[in-house]
Amino acid sequence: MRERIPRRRRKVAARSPEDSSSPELFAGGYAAALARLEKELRDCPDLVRRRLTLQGGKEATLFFLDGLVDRDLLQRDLLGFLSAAPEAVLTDPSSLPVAEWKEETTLAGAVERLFYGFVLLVVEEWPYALAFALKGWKERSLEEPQVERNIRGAHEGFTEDLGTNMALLRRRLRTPQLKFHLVKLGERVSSRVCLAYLEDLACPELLDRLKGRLARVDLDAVQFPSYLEQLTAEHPFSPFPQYETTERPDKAAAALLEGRVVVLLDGAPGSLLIPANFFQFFQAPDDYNMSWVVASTIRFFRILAVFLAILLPSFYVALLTFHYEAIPWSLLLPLVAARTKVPLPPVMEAFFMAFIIELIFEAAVRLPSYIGQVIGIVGGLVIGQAIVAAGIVSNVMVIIIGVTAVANFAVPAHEMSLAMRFIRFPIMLLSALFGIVGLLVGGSLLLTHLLGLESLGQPYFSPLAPFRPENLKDAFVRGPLTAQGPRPRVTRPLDPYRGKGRR
Amino acid sequence: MADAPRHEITPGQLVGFLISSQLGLGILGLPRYAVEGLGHAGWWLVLGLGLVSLAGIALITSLGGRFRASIVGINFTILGKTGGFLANLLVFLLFLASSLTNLAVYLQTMRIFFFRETPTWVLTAFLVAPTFYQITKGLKVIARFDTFVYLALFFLLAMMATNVAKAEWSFLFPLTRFRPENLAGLARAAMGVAFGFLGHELLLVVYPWVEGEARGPAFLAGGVTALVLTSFTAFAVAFFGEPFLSKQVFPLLGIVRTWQAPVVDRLDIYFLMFWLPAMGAGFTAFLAAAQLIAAELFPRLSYRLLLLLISGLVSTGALFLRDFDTAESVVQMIAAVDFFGLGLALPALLLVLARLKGLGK
Amino acid sequence: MRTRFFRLLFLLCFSLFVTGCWDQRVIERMEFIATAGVDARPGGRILLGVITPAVEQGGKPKPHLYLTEVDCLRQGRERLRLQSSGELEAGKMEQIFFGEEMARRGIVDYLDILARDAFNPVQAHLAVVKGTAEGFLRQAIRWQHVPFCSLYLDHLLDYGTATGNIPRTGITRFYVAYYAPGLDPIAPLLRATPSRALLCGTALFRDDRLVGELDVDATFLLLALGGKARSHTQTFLLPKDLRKEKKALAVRFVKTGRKMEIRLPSGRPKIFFRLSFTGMLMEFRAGRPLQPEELRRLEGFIACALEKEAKKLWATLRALNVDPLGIGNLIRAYYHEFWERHDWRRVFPQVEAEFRVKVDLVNYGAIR
Repeated sequence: MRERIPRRRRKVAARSPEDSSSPELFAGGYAAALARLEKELRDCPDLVRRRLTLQGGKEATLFFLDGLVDRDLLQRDLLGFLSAAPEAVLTDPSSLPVAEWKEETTLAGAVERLFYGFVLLVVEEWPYALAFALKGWKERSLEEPQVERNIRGAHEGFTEDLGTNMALLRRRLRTPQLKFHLVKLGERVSSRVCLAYLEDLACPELLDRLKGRLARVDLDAVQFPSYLEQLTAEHPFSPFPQYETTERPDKAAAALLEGRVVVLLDGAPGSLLIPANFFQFFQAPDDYNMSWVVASTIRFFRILAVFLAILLPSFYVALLTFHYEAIPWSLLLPLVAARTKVPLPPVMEAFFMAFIIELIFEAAVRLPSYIGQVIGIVGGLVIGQAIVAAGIVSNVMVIIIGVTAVANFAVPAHEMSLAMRFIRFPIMLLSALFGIVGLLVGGSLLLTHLLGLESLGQPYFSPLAPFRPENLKDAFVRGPLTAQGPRPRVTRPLDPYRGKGRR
Repeated sequence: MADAPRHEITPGQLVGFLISSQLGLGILGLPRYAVEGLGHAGWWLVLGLGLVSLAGIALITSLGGRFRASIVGINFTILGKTGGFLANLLVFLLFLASSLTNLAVYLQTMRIFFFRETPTWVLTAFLVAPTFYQITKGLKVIARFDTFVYLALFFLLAMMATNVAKAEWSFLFPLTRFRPENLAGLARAAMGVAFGFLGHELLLVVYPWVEGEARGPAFLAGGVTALVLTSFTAFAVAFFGEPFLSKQVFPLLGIVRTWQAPVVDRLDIYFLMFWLPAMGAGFTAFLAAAQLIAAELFPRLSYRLLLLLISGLVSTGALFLRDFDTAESVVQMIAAVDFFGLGLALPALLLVLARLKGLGK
Repeated sequence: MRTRFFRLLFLLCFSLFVTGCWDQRVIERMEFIATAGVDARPGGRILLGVITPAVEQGGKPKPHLYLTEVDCLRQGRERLRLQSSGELEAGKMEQIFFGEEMARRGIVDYLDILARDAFNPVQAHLAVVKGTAEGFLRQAIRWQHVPFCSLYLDHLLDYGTATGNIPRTGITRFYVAYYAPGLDPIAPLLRATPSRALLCGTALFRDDRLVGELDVDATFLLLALGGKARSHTQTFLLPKDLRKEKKALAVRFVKTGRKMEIRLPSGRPKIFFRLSFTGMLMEFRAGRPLQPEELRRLEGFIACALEKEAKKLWATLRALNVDPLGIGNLIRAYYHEFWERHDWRRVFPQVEAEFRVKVDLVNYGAIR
């Protein structure tokens, strides 16, 4: 299976950190090493150099990047120790008052340590530099992500720091089976990507497949996890998300327990859950915090919301344009009365109204919250009401499009609701041209597309197709916890049953 | 490429695939043909052909089980290089003709139902698009899609159940009084009913792609289809009575049009919404079969190119069958050849030859 | 080369919009036929009348009547389209009425268009009106205190069917009965008054020609004999010996059972009907509290009355030579040799029937 990875073979004009003039930092002694470091990091005003003299007279210099290091710790614990301790102590690293230290001999390695909040100690006549882990940058607090709110359950969210995120996962799954595989990606700037998985659950073949695809990523820098999705997914032209993203550690932990792989990226709070399937996007963690009967009803409403969001405007347009016979009399006369004022044919009315709603959405996202509320009022009351009163759009159409918009956002996963927003339009067009048959053809094309989608080689539309009855318990309904025994087969977990296994 | 067509299907998907390729178009007019042949006891004809179809399935599955290859490979093995190639070409052309006529009937039916003024070529392109897309994805996706036929089947059964009160069962009596006008009429009726059953010969092409035991599922599919078609025919006779039934072009539509519900008045549009995909599925199945054969016969040509050629050919051909009657009579002839020839005679012949030559396991 | 291809593609797609979409029927451009009426005219022609709702914004829809004299229904619609404000469409037609004379002439030809067009409504009510359809429609559009006349008629006909006052007939049912040998169609019968419509009972057809009628009580009995009776309230006039304080009583029949047996003693069919009615006493002014024996006597009386009515009904059917119960069809189904040898139209007027009626009054309400 040939992987769809865009290939960009740039002729290398800039140097990548590996291409230093000399891999060895200390070839040529202390002064040469300092000079190399200075040259590499010239024009970096955040580089701080602290000269000091060790006991025994040797010169040493500390390097660190301002803002990445905890100055308090440095000043309080390390500086004093370094100045006072005899050199013999310094060369025996087990007595150093730092939790983590590394030895570096290459320029590239030393510089990279600086970027990760290490303090570099270069000492005269030493053939290596010591890097002390004193990282202390400002981090956002663990607040709940905006788009993934829950009523009950945890309110923590991932932050931009990879270490914190790994710790959040570790706190939820305190097991030695939770493994993290670190990969460095990016041609120009190396970004750390972490693959988290449970060793006794995740399918090794899928893991290797993912690792292989990541290895082929060719980018300057990986800024967002969705870059990884767009570059490693099998169907980059599909509007549907093939990996799930989440900023919630509880959702990520649940995915790990299903045998999925969680991909974390240093610098972004989103994580990718791989492989994904269609029905996953309609599950919310809240579902598991309430009685299964209630949760199933709510999930059923969500599925209904999907159909409404994609098909309602098209269905309405099809009925009005081609199939008046299907409209009952009690609705027909008021509809005709409402529509006689409107100059536009139903399809254009639908497009126009949908367009206005999309504009309102986009505006609401960009605006600060206090103006955003005004837009809500302006958009809803004034535009909706005024448009109807002016006779540009009929009131039923406003209701239809409004319901559609609301249904769109009932879907827990943001990327899926985006896909649905997009899909709506071609189907509306088809139904305007060919009526209900157009809707069906559009629906068939959509369904075919979904049935053929794959996420990391696994079928996207499981458990409906291929049909896996034991996994249906979590697709349309939320089955009781006692029935949640079988794990989703789509992830091909090594242990197919939760708990003590199948009795 | 990640989008490369994949053709492996599970036995469960096979059932859905076969049922949806048989039910769909043929059932629309089936009761009419049955009563034209045998009068009000026409359902016997349907039952009879259902049994024939099951026999065909038995032959094909034993042929397939003997060789573990598709009809292409089997022909080559049994008939040699040239003989096999000619036989395969014949099979290919028959499937092509089937899909062409299926498309023509589908088109003309759409014209009668919905689209009177839309130019036929636009309609053709539009109706062929989902089929084309499905075949590019491969048999696997087609079979997955066909699992939704159960929904259509459910609606059919629901419709029959809710309209039971309107049926007059005495129309079916006397039970064994047949009214064959003459043998020619009966033959014509059999051809029409064969069109309703058309689809089991697809097993010839699909057999090797089934992961697992295909025999049981194939019989299940054939049995379900036979049961549904027979009971639907009996129901249609009870609903309309024989004389009025022969006047209906689409008895299924005739029944659906009387289906009422409290708020929505007419349920026919909604029924058709669920039935239309089943109608398209028959055409898709035959085109996919033709495509699979062509892909096996000409492995050097790209899959997509072959598909483009075949669908272009089929679409253009369908445009030549300009009206419903022509389309109907042609489809019945082809259906008869397919049903009895491909579905019965050919596997029988091949099995006999294989036994004589001692080929296969 | 590539840009040219895309330009062509774009033009093609755009042209789809420009040429207009072919089979569109946008609702605001249409006028919906709600009720249609057909009358006979000399020379084999017909008069077609249609009522359409004229929709005003914010007001009640007003009925609008169109009339035209034509040779066939489709021509009628086309003629009316020459003057209507929107495209006249019959897809939502609720009722089609035939005037008496038209019904006597034969109506099946005029149902043709409704069945032929794939989306015309075959479940529209089909009924015969006393007098002319034109007269009926002209009165209908002047009814003041009803909701829109077609909807009112729809409700009326539905309600009448539910209470067993009129039979349920749609176009398909009519056709089925017409084409089936040994079964004659029936249709509801109504007439118009200046303020309302009135249900009169059943119109009896021989083949597709109107030959007679039955009132609402006879309709109920006919439906009961056919095994399709609905809940129905009927009034009986008490004879002198039972009459103490009250002249009439009203019974609501809630369940009706029917057993029918066809026998051919000495080569001639004889039908044995066994009807059992379960009813509730609705209105009966008795001075003293009702005793059980009195209830039995009432039951007996009602049964007798119903038997007499049934005999009368049967005599009517024989005299008119119509077979709405489908006895002929049953003979064809179960006594096929007899059917082959005889012409049912000749045999039916001589078919005898025996009726045994049992009435069971299960309760008499809250007071005795």
